[in-house]
Amino acid sequence: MLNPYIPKLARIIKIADQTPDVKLFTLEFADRKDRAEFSFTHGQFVMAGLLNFGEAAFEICSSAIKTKTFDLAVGRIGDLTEKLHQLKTKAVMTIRGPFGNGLAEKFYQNKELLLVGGGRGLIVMRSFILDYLAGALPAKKVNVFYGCLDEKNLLFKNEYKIWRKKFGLDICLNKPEKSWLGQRGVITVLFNDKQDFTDTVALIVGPPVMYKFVIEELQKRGLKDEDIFVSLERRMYCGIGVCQHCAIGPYYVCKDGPVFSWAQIKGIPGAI
Amino acid sequence: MMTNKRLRQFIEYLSRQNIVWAPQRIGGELVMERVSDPKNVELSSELPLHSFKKILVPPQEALFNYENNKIFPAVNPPGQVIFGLTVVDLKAVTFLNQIFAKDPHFQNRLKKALIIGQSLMPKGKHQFFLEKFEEDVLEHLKFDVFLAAQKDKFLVYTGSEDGQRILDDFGHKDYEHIEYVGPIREAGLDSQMQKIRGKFYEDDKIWQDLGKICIECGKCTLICPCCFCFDIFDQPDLKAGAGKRCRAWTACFYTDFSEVAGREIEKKKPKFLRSTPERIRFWYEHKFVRCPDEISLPGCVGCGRCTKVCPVGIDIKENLQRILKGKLK
Ligand SMILES: Cc1cc2nc3c(=O)[nH]c(=O)nc-3n(C[C@H](O)[C@H](O)[C@H](O)COP(=O)(O)OP(=O)(O)OC[C@H]3O[C@@H](n4cnc5c(N)ncnc54)[C@H](O)[C@@H]3O)c2cc1C
Ligand code: SF4
Ligand code: SF4
Ligand code: FES
Repeated sequence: MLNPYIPKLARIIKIADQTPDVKLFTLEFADRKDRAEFSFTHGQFVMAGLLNFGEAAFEICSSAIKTKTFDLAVGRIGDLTEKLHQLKTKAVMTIRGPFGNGLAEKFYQNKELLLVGGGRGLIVMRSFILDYLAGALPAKKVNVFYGCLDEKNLLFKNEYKIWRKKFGLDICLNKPEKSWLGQRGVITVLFNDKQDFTDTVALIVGPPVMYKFVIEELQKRGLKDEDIFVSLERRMYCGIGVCQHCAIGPYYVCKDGPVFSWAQIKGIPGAI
Repeated sequence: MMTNKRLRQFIEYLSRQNIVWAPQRIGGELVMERVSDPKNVELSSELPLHSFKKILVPPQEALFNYENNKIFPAVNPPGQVIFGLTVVDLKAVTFLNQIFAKDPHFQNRLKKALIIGQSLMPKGKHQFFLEKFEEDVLEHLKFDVFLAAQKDKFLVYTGSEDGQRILDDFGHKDYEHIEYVGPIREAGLDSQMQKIRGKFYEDDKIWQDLGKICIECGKCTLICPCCFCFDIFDQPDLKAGAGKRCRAWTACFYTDFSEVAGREIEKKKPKFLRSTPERIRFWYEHKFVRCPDEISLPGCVGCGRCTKVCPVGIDIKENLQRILKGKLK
């Protein structure tokens, strides 16, 4: 019987600073067989850890078609993530997964895909973005709305130039410096009445407070609840729907999510 | 048939070469404990307060060991005998077997355990979901040997090859074999379970009411033979780079259960189950919504232990009746 708690080992081959407290780790499985077998759907996550320090959930934020290596963007926020930020390349991490349901292609095939990311929510979007740039995402068009605190917290900054060649990236900052020329305020300022969402599927990822307001903006513009997707965060341990930590109503975020359609979860108390 | 006297010899025989757990009275309370003197084993219709749970789902266990970035499987559990389980507790074993169907740690422990059930039906005031003992329930329960009480003898059934082997070795040939056919009866899903599932979200005020009195001690979850939720964490060894990744019981009533990292609000970490009503609903939701949805069984066998230990008198039997009444019109 396969033991779902035994992780695979992966080596860190590159570390790039993103913001004062987010680092981007590029990893490669130590075992050749693990490397060959690894595949995932955009929006899925892994349980990544460090022996002696436990494990936690992280989005796979690299391409889903080039999986010889994969990226995790880790925010420094507690015990494990603090420790991960101290690591150097060649260090070994434990990986289980990928787990859960991402956003399958069938939901946005030949439609426009609107990615709405707040803060670290942009991490989830990167795998979609990279594969769209590579011509491997079946969406008609991609648009990204990104709300962030200030300029120094912008994620994946060095990639925007390439991204903007192929799709719209609208950014607003909550507390920008005086020199910031872009939009200011919370993420809903990025919506205006000139936008046409008739053929759009949206994915929203961000802090809990954000969901309600963004969903309202999308509904006002005619998006159906079946076409609005959210990715949820919960405390997680097992990743396979057993330990109960991530349950919402009848569902498990680790197994049935983290990506849910709004239609699926809107009636569940406390879901967002 | 096995006579009372022969049964005593059987218990002695088992304790000679195995770790045996059986109901014994300690400090006035019937509990599942390790047998040191077979004479103390008590076979009765009373449910031991502490169930078999700690034996099949230990409070803490290693998932694997590690040293210098190498991973080693956890040490195999010992074989042991769990003696004298009532049908109520066999139902809980069967329930856990479904929950942990793909869990090698639980399956390994269950496979190596010899489970011996008995037919005396509990009749304490806190129990519910109870039926009279009827032989046709046996094919839906996980056990190795089952003793059906007659006047002063026992009819003996086996539910596995291990059960047959131990009886053969002991020298008792008079048994009937019953093949396990899975937990669900031909008649279909449990109607009580379906009714509770259907009405679960109708009366939300019940959680407000219970939330006002529950003190979140978590005793009900620890004592419940069907509660199994857990944390996972690493336990470093004294030797550098070595240790084990463990899982251990927790309780959904504890405030850190749903806590996540992040900016603290009023010195508290953000969490998703924010209040007592939310937490107590979550407990019932697991048993009467998620479990039925996932494995078609409720996460409750009606043993009444949670009611018995609750320091503020929260009574699950009453609460289920209230849920069944549904929307207050
Ligand atoms: C599906 C999913 C995807 C995620 N993707 C990312 C990502 O791509 N990048 C990123 O930086 N963060 C991500 N997170 C959040 C990340 O898991 C937490 O930041 C991390 O667990 C913090 O661990 P810590 O030990 O540093 O914090 P501590 O506060 O020290 O954590 C203590 C324990 O609480 C648990 N815990 C704390 N916060 C969370 C949380 N948010 N989710 C689950 N368990 C938690 C962990 O089990 C941890 O062991 C994701 C979370 C989920 C649920
Ligand atoms: S035993 Fe009673 S008081 Fe304690 S957590 Fe359970 S319901 Fe609440
Ligand atoms: S009655 Fe209480 S202790 Fe017994 S199985 Fe049901 S919830 Fe668990
Ligand atoms: S992480 Fe254990 S149930 Fe979802």
